[in-house]
Amino acid sequence: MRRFELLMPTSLDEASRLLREREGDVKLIAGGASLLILMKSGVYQPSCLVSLQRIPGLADVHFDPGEGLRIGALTTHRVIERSPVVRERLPVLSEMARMVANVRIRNTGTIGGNLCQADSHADPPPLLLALGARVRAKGGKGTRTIPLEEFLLDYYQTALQPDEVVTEVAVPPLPAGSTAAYLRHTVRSAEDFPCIGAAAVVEWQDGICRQVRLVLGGVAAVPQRARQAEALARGRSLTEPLIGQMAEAAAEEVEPISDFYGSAWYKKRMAGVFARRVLLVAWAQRTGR
Amino acid sequence: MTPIELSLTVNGERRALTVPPQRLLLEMLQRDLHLTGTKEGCGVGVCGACTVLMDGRPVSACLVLAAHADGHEVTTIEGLGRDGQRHPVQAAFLEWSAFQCGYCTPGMILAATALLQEHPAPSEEEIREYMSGNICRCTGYMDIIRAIQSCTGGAKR
Ligand SMILES: Cc1cc2nc3c(=O)[nH]c(=O)nc-3n(C[C@H](O)[C@H](O)[C@H](O)COP(=O)(O)OP(=O)(O)OC[C@H]3O[C@@H](n4cnc5c(N)ncnc54)[C@H](O)[C@@H]3O)c2cc1C
Ligand code: FES
Ligand code: FES
Repeated sequence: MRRFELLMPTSLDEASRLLREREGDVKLIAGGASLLILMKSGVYQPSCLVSLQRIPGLADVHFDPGEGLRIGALTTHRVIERSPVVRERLPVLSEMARMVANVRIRNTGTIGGNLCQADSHADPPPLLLALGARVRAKGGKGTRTIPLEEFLLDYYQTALQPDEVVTEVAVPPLPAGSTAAYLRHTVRSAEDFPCIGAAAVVEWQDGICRQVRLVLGGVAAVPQRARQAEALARGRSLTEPLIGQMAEAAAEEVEPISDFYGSAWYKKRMAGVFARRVLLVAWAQRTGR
Repeated sequence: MTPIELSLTVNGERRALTVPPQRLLLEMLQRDLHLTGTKEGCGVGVCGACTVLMDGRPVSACLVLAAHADGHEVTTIEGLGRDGQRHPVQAAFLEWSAFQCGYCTPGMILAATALLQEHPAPSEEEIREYMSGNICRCTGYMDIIRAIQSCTGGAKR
């Protein structure tokens, strides 16, 4: 790795000021699991790193009746996996966290770093998008809250300003009577990023599906909502044939590109398979089957 | 580049040292503290050869800045046994010949130790899942799993 200076601010204001002063040649580091790989390979060669590790209060997880789960940016995947409040309020989030990488990376990699890295194959984004999560960031101009759809812009691109630091992710409570599921399809090894990630959140009313949010990861630069598939189910009771039609619609509407994880042809088919499976899981959760 | 001053506990001993900012935890252990039991395989978080415990939790020392270990407690393979006695997981690996070349072994043993701390009696599936991030090119894994199971009274020779 090229040599760099390491700064360890103890407040968000100081971190943001350092980012402003060094603009262009500086990177924030949280756990370092993504960043250090890119620095080892020379993709990034910043002359300065600003570490978030000494800023207090960035790794708290708590439930707020208004905003739902508030998860500090520095919270590791492993803490989300094991957190009693996450398991109680949104067990699907804990289950997803458990699928990320391997136990070592889950112990250092943070949710903030994962979202800011904006990897198109990452696990948290599709589920958090289906859950309606929002990202809070603080910079020189104050604090703002950004819906995740507007935060993730493109491959490795977010809506953050150069001097903004993500402070937390807020995940609203599931509407009463909803079920949620996340599945992933890996094609290489257990700790690998998924080829396809599929998230479904279904809002039920008297056995009828009021709303579905079906989100697919790995098929485009940012997670895609399968809106045509969602529309098929609105106001209807789910059946296996209907779920089959929704899965076909979802596969139809995504336009994956070929990459390390599979050809466009393969990914399109797997998007359909995993859309179907994740809807079946969300459905089974309601009926208790 | 301003060097970084660190104070941490390594294998139960307080250590204070000054390192360049780009020093990784793995490099610090090997070069500054001469603890060469921690190995480097892939350097990108995949293989587990560099597994050490930070506050009891397994991490990839190849992807942690030494500066981020400041104030923490690090355990390497050298620190596992006590008073000249092997740690039970080390003894089990010997008993089951759960290694051939041995390169993955320090990481395997530390990961298994952390698993058993968390789950005193893991099922085979839990062992396989937890250990899935530690790769062995030699053994085929069965003896590693049996060695870990034997620590819970599971597998018998
Ligand atoms: C072997 C391996 C396997 C993996 N497998 C998976 C997987 O299966 N699924 C998956 O989803 N991910 C996977 N990952 C990625 C992993 O989840 C991320 O590396 C990790 O979450 C990134 O978090 P970090 O804290 O280490 O971020 P860092 O590496 O420290 O930072 C990543 C980027 O985000 C920026 N950043 C970090 N925090 C903030 C913040 N608070 N505000 C603004 N910018 C910030 C940094 O400047 C940097 O550009 C894997 C990684 C490895 C190494
Ligand atoms: S060398 Fe660190 S995980 Fe392979
Ligand atoms: S014993 Fe050789 S790599 Fe595991």
